[in-house]
Amino acid sequence: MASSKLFLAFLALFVFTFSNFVSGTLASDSDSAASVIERAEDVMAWAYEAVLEAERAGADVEDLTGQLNWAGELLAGARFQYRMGNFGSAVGLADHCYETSSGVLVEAGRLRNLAVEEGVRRFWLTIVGSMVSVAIIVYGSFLGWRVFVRHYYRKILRMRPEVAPSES
Amino acid sequence: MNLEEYRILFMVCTLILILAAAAPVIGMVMPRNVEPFFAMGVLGENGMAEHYYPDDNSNIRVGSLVRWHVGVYNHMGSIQYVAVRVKILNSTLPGPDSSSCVPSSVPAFLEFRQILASNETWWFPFYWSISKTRYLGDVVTITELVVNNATLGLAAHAVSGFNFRMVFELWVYDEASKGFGFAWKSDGDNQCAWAQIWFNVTFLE
Repeated sequence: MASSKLFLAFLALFVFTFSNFVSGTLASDSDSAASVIERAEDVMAWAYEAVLEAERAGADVEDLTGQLNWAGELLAGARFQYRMGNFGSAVGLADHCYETSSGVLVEAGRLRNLAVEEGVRRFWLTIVGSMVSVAIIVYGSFLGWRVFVRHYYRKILRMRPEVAPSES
Repeated sequence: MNLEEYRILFMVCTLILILAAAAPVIGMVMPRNVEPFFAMGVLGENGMAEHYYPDDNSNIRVGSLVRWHVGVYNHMGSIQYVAVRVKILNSTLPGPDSSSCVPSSVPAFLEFRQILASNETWWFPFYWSISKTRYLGDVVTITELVVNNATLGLAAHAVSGFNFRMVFELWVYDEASKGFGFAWKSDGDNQCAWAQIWFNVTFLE
């Protein structure tokens, strides 16, 4: 009798300790998965902003957009797995999203810098090209006008007056 | 024509040529005025504005598959990070307000995100069926939906199962606030986009 009571007491203690341990572990798994997903979301948002900057600078961001959308699918998968309680899968997908987005962030920065340099080069080329064209047009018009006036006076001076026949 | 008229003609032609030569610089300096906007729509099972319900009957049976296609068009002039948030409301819960661009206060049970290129249209399938309901008194509660083969728990209720509505709200990532917002700025005004489709839940065969 005493031994069965002792056994029941040990069993109750074991169940209590185990359930606390399991719920504590699950909570920490859930928390860490949530923070990994949040981190992936943040990096994806930063990568999007970097790609937007690169586009504004004139870079071709089609490839980067495709990669970011792939990262977005991974993130959606991570969130779905988290919702289903598959925290391990959620963390794996979120980590993959993080790596992809980080790569995009770096590449977008590089493309932006290249596009800015190219933009500055194109800007000065356009300014100089326009100024040279305007100068050529103005000088060409001035010369053309002088040649035309000379030709005009020569034509006038070659003209001989004629007496028109009278009608009476 | 006399010499004075020829002079005027020469000056006009020179001016036109100067404008043509300066056009690239003018184009760089003057911004293009384009009204930025998003457009969103929902189409039926064949990708057309028809056949929204099985057998064209808005009384949806539990387990019956409904096939819609949701589209978003980006005319904002740059890439945009958008999210389509899906909510189930009834006839009494507040929906999104187009005039003040305030979203529905009901939380979304699902979200689709995409980064759209300028002038890109994004279509995605929204195939759904009701897998579990609860019937208490005269209130029908949808407790589980299957959307694109993913099972989702929720709690959406309507009296007698009538006048549920699936609401799709377009949220756009805002750089300034570093988060998604329901509205976007267009010529200084707030604009927003959302769509809804009404349906009923029935248990009859």
